[in-house]
Amino acid sequence: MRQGKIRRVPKREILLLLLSMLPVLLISGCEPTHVLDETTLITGMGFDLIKNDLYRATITAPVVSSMVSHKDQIVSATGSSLYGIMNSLDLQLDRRPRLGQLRIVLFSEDIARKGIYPIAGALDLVEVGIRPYIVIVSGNAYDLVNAAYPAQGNLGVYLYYTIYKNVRGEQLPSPTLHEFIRDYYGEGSDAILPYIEKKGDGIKIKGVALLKDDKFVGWVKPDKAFFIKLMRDQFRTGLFQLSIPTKDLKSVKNKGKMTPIVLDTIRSNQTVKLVSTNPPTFDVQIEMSARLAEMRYKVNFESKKVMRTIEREVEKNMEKKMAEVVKLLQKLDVDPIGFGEKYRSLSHAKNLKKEDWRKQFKQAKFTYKVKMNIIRLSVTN
Amino acid sequence: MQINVYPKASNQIPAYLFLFLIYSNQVGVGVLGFQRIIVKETGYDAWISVILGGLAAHFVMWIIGRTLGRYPSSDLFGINIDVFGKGIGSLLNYGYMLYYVMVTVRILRDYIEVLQTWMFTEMATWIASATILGLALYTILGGIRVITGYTFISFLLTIGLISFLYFPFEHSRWSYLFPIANSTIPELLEGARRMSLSLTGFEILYMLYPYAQNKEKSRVFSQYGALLTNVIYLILIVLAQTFFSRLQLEKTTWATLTIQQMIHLPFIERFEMIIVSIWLFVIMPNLMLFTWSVARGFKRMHQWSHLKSTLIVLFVVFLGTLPLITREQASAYSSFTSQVSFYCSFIYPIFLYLCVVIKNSRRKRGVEGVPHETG
Repeated sequence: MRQGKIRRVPKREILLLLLSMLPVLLISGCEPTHVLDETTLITGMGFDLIKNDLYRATITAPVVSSMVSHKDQIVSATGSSLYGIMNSLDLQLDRRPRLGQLRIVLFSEDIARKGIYPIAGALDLVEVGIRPYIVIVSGNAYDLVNAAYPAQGNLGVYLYYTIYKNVRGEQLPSPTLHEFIRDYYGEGSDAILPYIEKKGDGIKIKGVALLKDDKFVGWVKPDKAFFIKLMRDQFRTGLFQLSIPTKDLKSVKNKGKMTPIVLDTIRSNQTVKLVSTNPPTFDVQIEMSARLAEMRYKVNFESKKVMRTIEREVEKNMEKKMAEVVKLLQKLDVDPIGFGEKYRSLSHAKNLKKEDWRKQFKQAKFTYKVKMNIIRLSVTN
Repeated sequence: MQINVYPKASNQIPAYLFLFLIYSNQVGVGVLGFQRIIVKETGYDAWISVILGGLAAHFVMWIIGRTLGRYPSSDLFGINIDVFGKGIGSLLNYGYMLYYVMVTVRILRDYIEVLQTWMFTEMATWIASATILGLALYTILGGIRVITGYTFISFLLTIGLISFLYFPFEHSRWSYLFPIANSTIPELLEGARRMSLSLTGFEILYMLYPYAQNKEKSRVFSQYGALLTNVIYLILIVLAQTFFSRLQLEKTTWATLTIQQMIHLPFIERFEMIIVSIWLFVIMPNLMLFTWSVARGFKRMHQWSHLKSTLIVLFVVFLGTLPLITREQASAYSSFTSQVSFYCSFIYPIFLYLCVVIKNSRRKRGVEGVPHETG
C-alpha cells in the first residue's frame, strides 16, 4: 500500500518536469544560431576620415580554413555610422561580420582631431563589451591595417597583445573603451590613449595621445608619459631614465659633466593635495622606492653620502620634469592626470562641469615634492 | 477564516533557514541595475542612500516581527482580517496580493529584458515567460520546504558570483566616492526611497512566519538575511560608483552586468553571459515565494487548493508580462511598481503595527470581545 503511494507521486512530478522542460526546447529551437564557421570575427577595426562625417573602416579578421595560405582577412568599407559600415561590410564578406571578438579599435589622427566619440560611443554595445582597446594611429589607419606583418598572426590580436603587454608592464595607462568613456563623461579628467605608428614589419608605440574630451590635441613621448602616469596612478614597475650632473659625485673616473642614470621603480606612492581652491593649488608629493638599474659612470656606491647625492639629484630632476609636463598639459588645456577629479572630490564644489574645471585648470598652481629612496643596486663597481 | 494557522510539523522550517529565505527573496533582478536609479538622485553620495535604505528595511522588519509577535502563529492575511474585520481585511489582503503579483511581473519582465538585451535578441517574451513560470510551477507545487531548499542553492550561487567582483575592483577610482555628504538630506532620503523596489521582499516574513519552527529565532535570522542583502547592495553600489564616472553610470542600465564585462578568464571571454544565465537561479526564489504567497492568500481566504490557486496566479503573471513590449513601457511600469512597493513594503507594516497595538489595548480594556483563538 505504502509502496504504491510512493510510486504514484513521482509519476505526476515527472510529468510536470517534462512539461516544464518543453518550453526549453522551444527556446533553443526558435533562437537564430550564430555558427562560428559562418561568422567573420572582427578582431581589429581601423577608422579613417574620408571627408566630413564619412568614415572608412578597415577590418581584420582571422580566416579559419585549411584551404588558404593567407590567414588574415582584410576588408574596408565606408559609411557614416557604425551600423552603416557593418552593413556595407556584410556585402563584401562571405561570412557574417560580428563584433563580439573585437580587441582593438584604431583611429587615425584626422578623426581623432575631430573627435572619436561618434564612433567610440556607438561601439558601447552589449555585443562589443567594454574591453576593446582604443588606440590613435599616427597617419592612416588603413595603411597600418592593410600592411603585411609577416612575423605576426592576426593583426588585431597582435596589436592587442602589444598594447596589453605594455599596460601590464606599466608603460601605458589602460586604454579600454570603458576607461575612455569614463574619462569622457568624468568631470575632472581627460582620457589618454596609446599613440602608435607602423615601423618596419611591425608597429611601434610612439607615445601617449592626449585627448581633450574626445579630441586629439597632442601627444607626448614615453619619457613624459611616465610622469603623467606617475602622478595619475599607483605605479608598480617601470623603468625610467634621467641625466644627473656628476660634479658632486666623487667617482673613480669621471668623464662627462652629466651621467645618464636608469632607475627601476619598485614602489611609488602619490599624494595630490588640494592646498587652496581659488586659484586651485595642488601639492604633489611622490614617494618612490627604486632600484638603480644602470649608470654610465661608476661611483662609490658604498658611500652613503654619494647615494644621498644621487637621490637628491634625481629628486630635483624629477620635480623639474614634472613641472614641465604639467605646464605642457596646461598649455594644451588637457588634464589626463585628473587634478580636476581631486579638485571635485576635495573641494565640495557642487555640480562641477568639465568646462568650469578647464577654466580653473589654466590658472592652477602646483608644487612638487619627490622623495626618492634607492633601496637596491643592480650595478657593480 | 482562521486568524492563526498551525502548519504540520513536517511542513515547518528551521529558523536559521529564514536567513536564506529573506536574502534570496530580496536579492533579485534589481541587483543587476539598481545603481543608476540611486545615483541619478544622490550623485556621489549614492552609497549613503543605500545604507539608509538598508537601515529602513531593518527597522521595518523589526516592526513586522513585533506585529507578528503579538499573535501566536498568524500571517498577514490573518492579521488583516483580525484587525480590520472581514470586509476591509479581505480587501487589504487582495491589495497586498495584487502588489505581489505586480512585483512578480516586474521581476520576470526585467529578467526577460536582460535576456533579450544580452543573449537572445530575437526571443519572444511569451516563450521565456512560459519557460520560467513552468519551472516556478514545478517547484512551488513541491511546497514551501522545497522552495526553501531552492533558496539555499540560490544563495550559494550569488555568493559565488559576487566573489568574482574582485577583478573589476582593480579598475576602481576611489575619488568617485568623494566628496562625502555633499547632498542635502531630502536628496539622500529620496535616494533611499528609490531603493525600495530593490529591497522589497523582506516582508515575505509576514507569510512565512507561521511556518517557523522557532518563531523568536526566525525573526533574528530574518534580520541577518536582510543584513546580508544590505552588505551586497553596499558592495555593488561602491563598485559601480568607483568603476564608472557619474554621468557614465547614469547612462548604464545594467551596471552590475556591464562591470562583469571587465572580467575575462582564459577560457571565458564574456563572463557576463554566465552571470545572465545563472541569474535565473537568483530570480527564481523571488518568483516562487511571491507566487506562493499569493496562492496561499487564496488558500487562506477561500480554501482553494494549492494547485488551483498557484495555476491561477502564474497565469495572471504570465498575462502580465505580455503587454510590456517597449523599453519605455517596461521602465514606466518599474518606476510605478517602485512607488507602490515603497508604500506596501515600508509604510504599510508600520501602519499595521499601530493598528494592531490599538486593537490590543482596546481588547485589554475589554472594549472588544473575544481575543483571537489560541492553541
